[in-house]
Amino acid sequence: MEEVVLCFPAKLKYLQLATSLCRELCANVHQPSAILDLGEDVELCISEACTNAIKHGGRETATAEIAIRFRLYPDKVVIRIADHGQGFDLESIPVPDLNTHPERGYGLYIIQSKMDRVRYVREETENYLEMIKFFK
Amino acid sequence: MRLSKVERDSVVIVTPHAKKIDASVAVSFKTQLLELVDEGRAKILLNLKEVEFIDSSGVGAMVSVVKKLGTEGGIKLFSVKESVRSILELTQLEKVFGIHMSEKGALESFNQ
Repeated sequence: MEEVVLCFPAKLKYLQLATSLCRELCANVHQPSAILDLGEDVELCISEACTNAIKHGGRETATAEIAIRFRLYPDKVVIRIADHGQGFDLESIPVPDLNTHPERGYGLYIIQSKMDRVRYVREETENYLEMIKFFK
Repeated sequence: MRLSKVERDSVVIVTPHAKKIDASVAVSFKTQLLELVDEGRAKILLNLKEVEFIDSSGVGAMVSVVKKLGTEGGIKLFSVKESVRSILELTQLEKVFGIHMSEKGALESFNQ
């Protein structure tokens, strides 16, 4: 297993830099090679997860940080986005009603559609959203 | 976020000069589009030729504008990259925005 950790201030102005670096990371990791195909989905899901962490984690303050932790295994990538906010219950987040075209609420739906496993874990020191994608 | 605008008949063609439309620019994007609506422009044609990435914040901004327009007009899109189209399909918002291959086709659809 190899691990890469990216930390950045919890401010939306760093979002594009963070998602672009994650896309680059996928493009430059050649073992396992299957990660090369996942750059677009990884970029999207990290954008959604980091936006949630910044906006809803109550963390857009001067000193707050968002940590993106990549763990690469031979058969999967495990991505954790950590925040220090109050957290939420993943099961209680409703699926958007796609027939009524709401303005908001697509973020977790997109993540759950693109990733194979998603869970939100609350721990004493931090919370994290964990996204797992298995290589085909 | 910089947008350029060109008027053609009763349609305003808007080109976002951004590779990414995410939460860091969505408010600016939405505000500028809503200003057009407030000025009375009801038919908005978005040229997405420069946009390589959009997330839920970006599509949410466009939905807000469409909802403000109501039945008076609409937003149509052209030069949509596959990565953008796939998000619109996943969220079933491709039904809300007419997606066209060309500017000409999109303009014609506004007049049908």
